[in-house]
Amino acid sequence: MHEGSIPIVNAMSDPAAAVPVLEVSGLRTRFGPLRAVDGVSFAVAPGETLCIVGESGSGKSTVALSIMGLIPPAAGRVEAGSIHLAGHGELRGLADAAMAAIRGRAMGMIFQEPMTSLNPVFKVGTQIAEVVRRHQGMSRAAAHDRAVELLRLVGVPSPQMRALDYPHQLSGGMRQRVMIAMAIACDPMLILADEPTTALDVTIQAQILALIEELKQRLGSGIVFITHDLRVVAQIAQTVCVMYAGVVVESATTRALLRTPLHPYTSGLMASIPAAQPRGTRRRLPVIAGTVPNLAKLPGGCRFRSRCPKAFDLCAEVEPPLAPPAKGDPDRLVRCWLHADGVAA
Amino acid sequence: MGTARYIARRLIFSACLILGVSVILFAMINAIGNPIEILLAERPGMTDEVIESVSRYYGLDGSVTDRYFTWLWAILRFDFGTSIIYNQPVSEMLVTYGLETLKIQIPAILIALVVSVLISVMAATRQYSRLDFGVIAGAMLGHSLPGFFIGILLILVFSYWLGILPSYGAYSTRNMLMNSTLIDGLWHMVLPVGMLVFFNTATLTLLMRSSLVEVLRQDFITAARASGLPERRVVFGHALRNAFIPVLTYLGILFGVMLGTAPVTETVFTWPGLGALYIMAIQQLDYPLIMGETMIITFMLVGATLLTDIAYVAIDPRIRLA
Repeated sequence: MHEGSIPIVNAMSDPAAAVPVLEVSGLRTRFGPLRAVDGVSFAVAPGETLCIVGESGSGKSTVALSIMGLIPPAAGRVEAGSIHLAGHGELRGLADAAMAAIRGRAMGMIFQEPMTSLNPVFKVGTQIAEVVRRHQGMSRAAAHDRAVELLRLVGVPSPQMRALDYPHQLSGGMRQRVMIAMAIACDPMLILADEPTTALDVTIQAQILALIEELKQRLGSGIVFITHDLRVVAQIAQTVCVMYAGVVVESATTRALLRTPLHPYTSGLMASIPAAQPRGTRRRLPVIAGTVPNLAKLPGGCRFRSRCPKAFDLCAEVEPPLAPPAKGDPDRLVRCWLHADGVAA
Repeated sequence: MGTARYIARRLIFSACLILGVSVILFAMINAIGNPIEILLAERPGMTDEVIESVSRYYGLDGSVTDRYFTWLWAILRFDFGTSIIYNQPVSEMLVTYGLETLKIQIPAILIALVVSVLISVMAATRQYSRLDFGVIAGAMLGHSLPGFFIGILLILVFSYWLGILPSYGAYSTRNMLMNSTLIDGLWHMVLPVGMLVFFNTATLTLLMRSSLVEVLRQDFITAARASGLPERRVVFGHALRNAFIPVLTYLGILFGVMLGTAPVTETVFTWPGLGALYIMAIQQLDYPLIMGETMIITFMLVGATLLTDIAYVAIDPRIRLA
């Protein structure tokens, strides 16, 4: 498949989902010599949760920051590709001020670290109200009321009082709820969640996932959910993109991907989920050997081949295209010679 | 209420601190010896009777503890005695000279604060740019240049070559500029204030820039940008307030010691301030003046530290007074 084309992976039969809220195609983001994102394409429909999965350094957070236009200009830039947001058109190349007007209004972002993502010197209610005032031009009092209402919506108990708290007075789970309240303050059509549960306790994780799901139903927004945890994917996503070293290596519906992972990297990720084992049958948890290659000097051929148990000659020579597998579901995409047409493996 | 109790406790602690300084100061001055003997003994034709009577006149014939408590009781009533050299009440001199020092120090600190904030924002938001490196280099240079150098340079350029600003004094001795004491005073302030602004700005910029660079890297800044706040609001509203927290300590000390920290400026510009007076008092062993000034500077520093701690609570909600 060519870089510029847009593979829309959408298994939902809902016809309303046909017009995506977000279409990303051929996205390339560089940090100096580092090609952090190297031609990524996907689309998200309203009410759909798309998970981007990958280990640290796979470029998944960079995708989110690129969409938001938050790549620090001193560090890197979005080199190529298109980011199309329904109702706002092409985002790439928009002026800073125009981009700032869209951020927080049409798309909201939830961050990984609730402990450090709120400004320590302002009350949480003030921080939420500031977003509302910025985008909806409300009065101070109306914005404060709206902030309290948002806190109630995200399940913060006694929101009237909590709105007057400073971030350090709240627990991690509560802070993440505040972050979510800020992200959805203006009913965005797109929510980007960058590992929003990674820093939280397991019980709190489940609550936050349920909250995000509930808000999605209520707002009908599309969600791009970034995680490295396939168990989270199983819980919330309709579609999944697996990223490795800056490219999508596999994308499919959650059900299809979890049932029959095609790419050796996806299989590796699934095998390394610890499961309860009966006594006496304990075995070492399989791991994917090695680490993500240096993105500044990628070798030719398949990016995963140095860690791939099934690599063969062709993998070292030519990078496989992201294409439907030769056999099986034509709606899925995989970047692997094992599944390419006419290649015997 | 926690804050009121905290302040009360700090006030008691401050009083003890000032008392401690007064004991040490008195002991040290006492250790130098009888000032009358030092000042008069070498004079020709001096007799023991004269020394004794002058000592009695200055109250130097009692025991150390007696003299300490007499002095302590006097300074509590803002009576620091009479200057030996100037033959004026020290308390009056502290006020007159002190006001002249404050007149150049307070504007200098405030102007430097505003200027360094603006420079720091420009540099920190363009970290590692040529401008940023220029600012760091300039601030380092300004921070390390000897004080008199800039003063003399200013006099050379503005007084000698351009001839537009006075090089010494706080007022004209004959004709006031535009016949106005105010305008004439401001006119004389320009160079000494400029010199102090230069040094304060250099140091404050070094502190503020690095603090701001650190804060701009924080997650909550990215989060503020992600919520669509305009960049100016992100930098001035969200980043600056956090960046200011570590600078506050330095600012507090700057205000605290300002009465005694401008001796070079005051000397270069012959400014009638406390800094130059302090040096003169020490050179001439004017005991009441040395002790009076030391106590006033101690008092200011302790007060400024207390105010700084209270300001911390106002600026950083994570800090609670207890």
